[in-house]
Amino acid sequence: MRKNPVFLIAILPLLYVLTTFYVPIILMALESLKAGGIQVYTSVLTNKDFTSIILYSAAIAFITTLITLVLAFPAAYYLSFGVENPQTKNKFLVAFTVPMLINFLLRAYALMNILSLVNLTNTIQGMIIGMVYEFLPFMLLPIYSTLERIERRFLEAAETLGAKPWQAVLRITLPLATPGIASGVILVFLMAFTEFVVPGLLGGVYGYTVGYLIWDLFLKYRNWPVGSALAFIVTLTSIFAVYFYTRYGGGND
Amino acid sequence: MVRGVSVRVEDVSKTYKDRGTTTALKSVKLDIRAGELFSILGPSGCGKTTLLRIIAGLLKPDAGRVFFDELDVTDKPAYERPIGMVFQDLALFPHLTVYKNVSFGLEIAGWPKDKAERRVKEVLELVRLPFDVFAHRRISQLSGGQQQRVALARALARDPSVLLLDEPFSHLDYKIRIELIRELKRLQRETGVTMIYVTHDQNEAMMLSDRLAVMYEGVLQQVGSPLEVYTRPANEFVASFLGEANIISVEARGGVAEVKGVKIDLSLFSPELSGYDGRVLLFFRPEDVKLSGDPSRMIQLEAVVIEKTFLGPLTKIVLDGWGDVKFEALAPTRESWGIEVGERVRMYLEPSSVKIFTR
Repeated sequence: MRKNPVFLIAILPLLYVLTTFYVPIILMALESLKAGGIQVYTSVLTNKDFTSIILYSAAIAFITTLITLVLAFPAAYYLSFGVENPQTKNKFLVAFTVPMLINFLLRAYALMNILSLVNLTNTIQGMIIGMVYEFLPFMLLPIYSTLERIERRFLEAAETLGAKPWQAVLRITLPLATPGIASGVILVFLMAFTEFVVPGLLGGVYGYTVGYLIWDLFLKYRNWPVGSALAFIVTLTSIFAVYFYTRYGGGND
Repeated sequence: MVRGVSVRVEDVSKTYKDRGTTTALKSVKLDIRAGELFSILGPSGCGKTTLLRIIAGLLKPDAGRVFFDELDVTDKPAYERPIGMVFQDLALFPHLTVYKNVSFGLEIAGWPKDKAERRVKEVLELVRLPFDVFAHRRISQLSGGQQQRVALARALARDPSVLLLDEPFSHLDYKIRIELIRELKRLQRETGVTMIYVTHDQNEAMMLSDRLAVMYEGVLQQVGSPLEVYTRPANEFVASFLGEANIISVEARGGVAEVKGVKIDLSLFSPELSGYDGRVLLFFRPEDVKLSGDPSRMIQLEAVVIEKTFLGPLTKIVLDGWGDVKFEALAPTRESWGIEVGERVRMYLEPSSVKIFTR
């Protein structure tokens, strides 16, 4: 095994990820314990300012996720079931994904200009519009790809069993698309939860989210132990969410 | 408990525009009787599946009507027709258990739980899948034959008037296929449902059907009982598609065809052919070629044996030198013992076993 070159090829990126992701997390965890050990966690979790910011961020992330889901599912459904020509499909997909290739800061500034035209900068609405815009492709693509894999015969079979088209969508398409919906929801929620660029640029006073708070704790207040503790809590929550998803939600045979 | 309906297809046509306008069906007329097991037989691409999908309501015809008994269902979608369908790839719902698959149609129809459960038990028993063993299994835990039975049970659960089957057994082993065909005939007897069975396999169609239709290039070639269609094929295509066929092309002059000095009076076969000039096709089955016969009454075939294959009780003999192509004889093995490859032999054909097709 050791002399197998394929092993080497696989181990290098793995090592890279280990050293650049897992090692810093461990360092961060250690950093958080430097001032007073485990107490820093209790103090973070009992700090009303912190918990209200965490809950506020979660609420914003929840709303963002909900809106992206509501927008993305019908679009993905139409793209998968309504567009028959594969070339047209590809054009739509490219249209959705090209913005992702452009630096986000540029796009955020562009969006800022648009929002200022309708007086929505520095509002919650403006911030949510920005986040929905940012995360829409991350919801659309996984849902679209699971929809594409659904055997069209299943819907015909449902129809021959008396199911009207909407009943077939509810009982066949939706359950079979759940893995895609779940991964889109988790992806968007986690990214929205810790996002601070869009809230910072578009949210004004409403943009003070947990991501921003961590940023401030590290760079403004230089309170590394508390910043690390908060970051660690957020990261751990994310890891658990992903774990639970892959363990219970992701498997559809 | 006979509840099958008759299915009448009137001048149904269908053209697929997205595939460079290929005509799938050309003015197809079909009368399927209530409670009948009817096969639609043809090679792939002949339009048989298109026709089945139109009967199911999954596809709209460009022209023509479809009737269930006296009811015009042409404009009804599939979910409003009293049908059950078994698809070629089965299309069992992978996220549901056997029970949920079978009860799907009942839940949609709003059956109360206990009544639905009784019905699921009933149909699972009907297809010989013990409820206690199979009801709560996942589809992926079943063998191909068992999945087949679940698909049948699901299609039968709502008590359909017409059961449509689209080559459901094509990917199964021969033995399981024969077993399921027997089951299907039993189900037809027990339920009285009208069954329409689409297949490209002539053996399946002949074993299974009360009547069958042979289709080719979107046109219905012949409808009849398997025996009728086998013994009296309407044209060259049906003759060669159903069973083994010898088809020899012959020049006819003045109503008389001549092969190697053997004169065949065409007016004996059909009065319209007296005085016919041009090419005709002589069709006869290998099993009708006799090793001995009465030369004064029978057509004599003089040819060279080029191949001999032992098939158990019968032996297949391939002959060449009579007519424009090789032809085959299927003779009882006992009688063909003396015949050697390379030998020139004389064989006989009863005139009544020959059919003439003009092109």
